[in-house]
Amino acid sequence: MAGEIKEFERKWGMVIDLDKCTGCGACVMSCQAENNVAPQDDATNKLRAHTWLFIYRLSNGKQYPEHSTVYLPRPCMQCGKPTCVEVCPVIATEKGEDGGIVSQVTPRCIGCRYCMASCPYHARYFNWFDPHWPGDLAEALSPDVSTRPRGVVEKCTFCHHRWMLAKDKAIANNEDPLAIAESEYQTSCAETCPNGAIYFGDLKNPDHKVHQLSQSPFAFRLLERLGTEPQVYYLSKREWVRRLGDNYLDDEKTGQPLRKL
Amino acid sequence: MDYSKPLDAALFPKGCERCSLTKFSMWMCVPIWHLIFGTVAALVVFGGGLGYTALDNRFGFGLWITLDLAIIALGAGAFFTGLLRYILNIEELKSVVNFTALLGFLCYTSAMVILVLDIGQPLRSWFGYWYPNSHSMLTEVIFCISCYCIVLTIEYVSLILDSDAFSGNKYIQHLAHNFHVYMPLFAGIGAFLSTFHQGSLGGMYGVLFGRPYLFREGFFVWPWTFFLYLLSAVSAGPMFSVIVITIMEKFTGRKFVSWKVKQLMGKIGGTMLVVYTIAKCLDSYVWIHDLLPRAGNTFDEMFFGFIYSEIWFWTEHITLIVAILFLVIPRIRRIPFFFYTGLLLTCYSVVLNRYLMTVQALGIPVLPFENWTYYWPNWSEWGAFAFIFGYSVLSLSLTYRYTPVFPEEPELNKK
Amino acid sequence: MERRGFLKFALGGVVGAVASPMIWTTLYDLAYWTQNWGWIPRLKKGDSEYIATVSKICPGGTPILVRLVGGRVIRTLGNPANDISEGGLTPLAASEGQLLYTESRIKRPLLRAPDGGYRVISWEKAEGILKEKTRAAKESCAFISGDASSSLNDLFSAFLVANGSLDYFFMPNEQNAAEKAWELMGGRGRVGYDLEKSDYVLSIGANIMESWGTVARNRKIFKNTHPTDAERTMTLVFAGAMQNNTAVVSDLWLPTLPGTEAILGMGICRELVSRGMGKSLKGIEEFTKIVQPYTLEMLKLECGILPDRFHTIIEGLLQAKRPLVLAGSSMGHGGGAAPIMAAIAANMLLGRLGQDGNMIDLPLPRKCLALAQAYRRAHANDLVDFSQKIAEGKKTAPKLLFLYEANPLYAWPKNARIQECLDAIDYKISFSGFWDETSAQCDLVLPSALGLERFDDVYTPYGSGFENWTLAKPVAEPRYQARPAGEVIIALAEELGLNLGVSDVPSLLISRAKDIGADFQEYLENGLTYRTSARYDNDWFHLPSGILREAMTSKIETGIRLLPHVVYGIGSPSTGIPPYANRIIADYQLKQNLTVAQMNTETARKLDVVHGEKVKLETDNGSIDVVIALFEGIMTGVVSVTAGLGHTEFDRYSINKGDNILNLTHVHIEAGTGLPIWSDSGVKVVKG
Repeated sequence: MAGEIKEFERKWGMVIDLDKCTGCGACVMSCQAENNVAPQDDATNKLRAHTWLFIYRLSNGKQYPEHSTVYLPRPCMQCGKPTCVEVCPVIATEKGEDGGIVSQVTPRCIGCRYCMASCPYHARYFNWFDPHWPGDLAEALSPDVSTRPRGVVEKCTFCHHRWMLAKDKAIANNEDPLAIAESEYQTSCAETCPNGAIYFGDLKNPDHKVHQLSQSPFAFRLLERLGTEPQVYYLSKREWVRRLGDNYLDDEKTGQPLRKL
Repeated sequence: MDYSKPLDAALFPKGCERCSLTKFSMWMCVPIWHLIFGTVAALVVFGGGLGYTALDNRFGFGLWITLDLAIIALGAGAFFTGLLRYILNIEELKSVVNFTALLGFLCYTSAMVILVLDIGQPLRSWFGYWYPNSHSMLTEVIFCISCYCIVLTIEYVSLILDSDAFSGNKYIQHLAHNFHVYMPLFAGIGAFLSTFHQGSLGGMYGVLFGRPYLFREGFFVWPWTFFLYLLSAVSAGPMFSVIVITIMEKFTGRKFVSWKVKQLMGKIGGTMLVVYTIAKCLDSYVWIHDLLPRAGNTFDEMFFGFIYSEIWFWTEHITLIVAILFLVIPRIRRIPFFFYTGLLLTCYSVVLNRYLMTVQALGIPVLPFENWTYYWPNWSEWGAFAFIFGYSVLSLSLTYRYTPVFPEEPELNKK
Repeated sequence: MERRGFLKFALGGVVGAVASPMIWTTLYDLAYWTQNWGWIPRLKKGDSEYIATVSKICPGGTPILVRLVGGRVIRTLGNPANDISEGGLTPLAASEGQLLYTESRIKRPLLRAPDGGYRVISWEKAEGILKEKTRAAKESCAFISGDASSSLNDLFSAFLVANGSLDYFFMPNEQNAAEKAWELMGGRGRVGYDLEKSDYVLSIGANIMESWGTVARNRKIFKNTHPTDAERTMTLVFAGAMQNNTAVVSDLWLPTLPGTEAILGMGICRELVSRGMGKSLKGIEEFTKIVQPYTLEMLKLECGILPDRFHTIIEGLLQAKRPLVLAGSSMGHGGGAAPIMAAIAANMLLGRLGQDGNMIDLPLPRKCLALAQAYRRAHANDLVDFSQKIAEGKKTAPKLLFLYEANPLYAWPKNARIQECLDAIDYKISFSGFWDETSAQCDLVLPSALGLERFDDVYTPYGSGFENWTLAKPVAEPRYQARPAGEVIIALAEELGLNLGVSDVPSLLISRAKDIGADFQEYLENGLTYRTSARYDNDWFHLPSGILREAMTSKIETGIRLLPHVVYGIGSPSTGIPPYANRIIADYQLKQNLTVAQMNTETARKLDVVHGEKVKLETDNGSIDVVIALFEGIMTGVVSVTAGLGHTEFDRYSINKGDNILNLTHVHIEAGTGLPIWSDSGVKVVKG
């Protein structure tokens, strides 16, 4: 019914080690600066705030002192079978390019928000108002990422422009733009994290750290049984964290759902 | 000039009485006030952005999308009655077919208004035709609704052309005649288009495999919700027409459609309702026992507190069953109280269904660590409701006053 | 025109329009316009360059790369070439680029008019006023510095001394208490924390992964010792009342009530002594007596610790090769010296003090300028004492006060009586980058060039494990009319005929570089951190006795305890909340404009409050409005409130965002050391 799982030669992916995240928000700050996300006067209403990368605080549901907390940063999952791409009426979001990043073409978007309704990760954000950079804040706009007007949906792009820049650089240096090193293309959040909790690279390339990490027995993806095939993996040695990554029935073992959608 | 008649009496359909122009003008204030409020709200939203609504990133679809879906379902009387009248040649329905077309026209144009209001970039609304994504159910909706809107416009125009105001114009008379000749064709096209977009509206939700509350498997490219939406629309559409006709009868004190035809409409709707209810119950059963467990969810997890409680789920189903009892068993159907209650319950269940699939569906957390979220529309969204109400009442009043929308009206009101 | 003619014309027009590209170009233009309305800023292209320097707003001295496009500062990034952070960035350092452009920046010199409003004046006029006021005040002046790690302090201090005053103060920091504890126990220099080499770190109260010490470095060490795909090489244990940023990643969390850090430290010492540790230490008999009351029973009662976890930690400390115990307060300051003394003692008992992977004795900073006050002298000055005495009339208020990137009005508890002290001072001059609460009460407000616009340095910030120095250099011209405060002071001194012994800020920094052996030119170019291995040996240390015994007599709160939670993302007292930061303020920290108070279900049940209920938190000092949020990762009887909210000045991102937790806390004096403490307040929860 819905589309097939898209595979590409390269598959940009992220592995986030939840046991190392302190929830400080440096990644979120960096993401905003890198991607020209307009500031908001009030962002306490999290349902109106633009957080391409959102940090959840997870709880094991027990009471003090057995309680345990984990922070979970949530970028766009860049799903292998995205819920959003199929539903967009105007092809403003696609998964067609090598690397598997789900694009968001804001000049094409008509703002119907169907993609937002489709996304179980709430990774998509709507520009409820026109963006506004008070004072001289617009001076700090990066030349790499277009600003978006009101009325369109936007989301994390795995800093796609950085990949473009890395490819340009490789071409300028007479190197193979398709064989760029891991360090040449990193997302802003991954390079910022002081704890090294975010790894980024080509999931299919054995030379890239994410390749091996994504195969760890502690790795899991969010809502895996829905069949979205996210390109973002999480790691935690704590079973309750892995179990919170998906919906399980009481008789199901973590990571081993009896049935899938 | 006959001063005992209203000033605009010359424009009235033949053999029909209407209230005085003063009274009518005063009545017109009601929809116009609603229209003004709705227009102000729309201007605020167009001018300042959708931030002026209470929608948020979780509730990208809000109550006005519920309204949108509801009026399209309830407006389905147009295509279904047209289909029965022109294709299946059920002669009795000729007394309502004009009106159902009018109601359909109002419902669909209202839906278009809401869609334009709802999208963030109305100036890009034509992208839907220009860059269509053939995989998107919404594309199917956009194309079918706008094409069907054209069909309804033609049907509505032919009704207007029938009005006595144009009786002196030969060209218009010919045109109107031609429209009537080709009406079966339009009805056929309308039925085809309608089937698809009524269905694809349901399909829109059913394909969302990231939302276990909504996701359904199905037949070919269409999830089961496609068929459920279609069936619910053909059940509720004719019934809604009867309800509106009856309300208008109460307001004007005149009779427009015979009890027999109403009963027929109720019987047809009731029959479709049986099919819909069986399908709906089967669907719910499969959803609870197969789809939800496969998504790792339990039935209980789909409900929370009062506003998202199971009550609504059961209400939706039980009202259908009660409505069937009232409408299908002839002895009960013949009692006006049960008849009208049956119609209202059906419409209620269908509207509730659209609400649950729009609002509750978005309030449910899918990620296990997410919370339930709430949403309540603010004044600018109510403005859209007011606009639709004002627009519909205004159009209904004018059309009723000046066109022969009810061909049997003179007959039924003979003293 | 005939009807037929008109129809022809109209038809021709329609055909022509459809055939021409007009419709299509209009449609495409429409797509373009809807993306590019005039009010949406255009991107300015230009060549990119990356300049390595250091963050001056992040108290931990985080190394940064500044990205410029066409000479414009775009943003800050981590500097992977700098081994202090290895590319990591704190949220505060990440906001430094945007802070250059905020509305809250002070753009021009402002003079307060008699009506209380501010008038823009020229720098010439401002300099004239500076000269006149300084000359008139003579020795009756004081200086508050908001930057503890800069060598510019020597300049300001020398200026003050040249005027005849020694009243040089720092904003609240943990450094003062730690240096005091260190000195009291025989330390010759400054306390350093060799986290890199430790294999077992027990942090008592210090949020080392978020706001304590050299955060970026601490977190880099965590990264390297906790590899994702291998066994950890260091065990991190956090003792505190809440699962804060450090607790969530630590390998073990030991709950302990706020304000009981010293008791826990003493309990650990007692346990170590009872296991025969530190037998050969001088003064062990006396010390054994001091720690005797801190039994497990007492710890359970006073700190609320869990005995099994406590024993796990003792075993861990004993089995580790290079264990380290460190202490701090949840507030990041105001915790007093006792917890730190207890931690030092524990390290001594473990036989590790001064060794690799433990606390080490770093060299005392030498003065860059002969006139400047000595390091220990300057850091011993106590603003709370000064302010309270002035407020009480026990001391004459200075005629003139200089504030340098300092916002004491916001950053100190109310009963430090900063307001009354400020009121008593005739003339107040603020050098500040931003329109903060204190500047808004000053007579002359001067726009200070920010860290990215001036020469400055970060010299061994508190929490370092080695002597280190990073040069901050201007990556862009000062915006608006901002000027580097150091240059203004040097010019002022010249005008007044005072010889400070320095001609400009770079030469001051050159002398610092020379003093520690760094090549100024080299570090100007590479933007890296220079480090030395200089340290004193540890022969001078002795177990604490009298003063610690006295310090431990400080009263402990009973009832509901207030736990401040300091996060760098929310900014600092001198920056306010940075533009992008309000998105990382969670809904369990701030809800609309209400501060959120977190507590566990058990506490809520006892207090008869529910999630989402609006209540007041009250102390003798004041009250704040809060909304309750339940969080189970917090001890029973503890209410946690995020610090850094409740600004009344700055800009739209800071104003009307919750309440300042310091409106609740209460300063009292630590017995023995005389240090002000305010991190251990008890609160009342009052239902609306």
